[in-house]
Amino acid sequence: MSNKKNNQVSRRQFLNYTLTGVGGFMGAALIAPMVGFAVDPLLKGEKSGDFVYVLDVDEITETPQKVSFQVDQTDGWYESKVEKNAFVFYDSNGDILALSPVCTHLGCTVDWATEKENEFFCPCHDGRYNAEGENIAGTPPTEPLHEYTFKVEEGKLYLSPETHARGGA
Amino acid sequence: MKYIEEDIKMYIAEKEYIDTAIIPLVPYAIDDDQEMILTSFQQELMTLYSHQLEQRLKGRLFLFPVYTYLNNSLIENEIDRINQLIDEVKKQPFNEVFLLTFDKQWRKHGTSLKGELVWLPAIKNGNLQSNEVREVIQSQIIDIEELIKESWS
Repeated sequence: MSNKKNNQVSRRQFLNYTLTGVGGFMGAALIAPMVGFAVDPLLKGEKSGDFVYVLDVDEITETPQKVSFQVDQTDGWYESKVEKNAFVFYDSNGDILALSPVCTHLGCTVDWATEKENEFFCPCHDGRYNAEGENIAGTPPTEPLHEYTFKVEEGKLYLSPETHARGGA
Repeated sequence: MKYIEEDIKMYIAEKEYIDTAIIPLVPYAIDDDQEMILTSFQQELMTLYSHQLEQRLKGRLFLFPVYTYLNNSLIENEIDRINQLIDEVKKQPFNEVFLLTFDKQWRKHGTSLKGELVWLPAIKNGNLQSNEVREVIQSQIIDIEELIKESWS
């Protein structure tokens, strides 16, 4: 008689098992996406940090050279190859500078020495930047041309597709 | 500027600077297989041209949604509709309205249009990835860019 009772699962035990089981799944369902979101920047960081080779360091001069390179761009779910341009040169301190040709006013493409010698010029609203890419007062741009992050390895220049504003330039 | 939310918000804030409009005129076909191949290729080309131009002159150029029409419809019937559209666009105000097209039917009607017609000879076919085709396209785009800049000075 007592033997039979031992084999049975009591109501209390049964409820305990099922509730922990179901509760566990619900908890996991809640936490999994949270972990995903928390780690997401790490996963992304790796992707946008892809450096692209553009030219050899010994080709760089003091005159800005326009170089172009292709990067993968993701707009939402849509992936495409995008061509980016940069002006690469040595600044007056002898440091390498890789500037974005996107005008800081409204995003037109600037060009080197088209209107005035030793200046970057934006054809849209006559924006001007000096030889270091700093905006010239009295013209529409409000800040210097943005800069690409770059790295040099074994005499080759690599650019990151990301640009950033230049502090204290 | 393109007709996307991000650009439109910028446009609304900076209207005074953006005074030039581009409207691509793109025909399409559904009744003839050969024409379909031709017009779809031209449609691709137009996307390439107009987006490149927009990118280069983003701060002053507004790229409108494509104006489409059936390639066997009477072009005369389209003129009124386009002119109405141009009237609306000019009210914004846009000083210059360029109509970009590969369709040679328009060439006869350049004077009855209220915008400036820019007709381009289209590459018949070819691999858009090949370097030769790219060079041709690049040089045409630079030509149009010069045309637009001339209207500014």
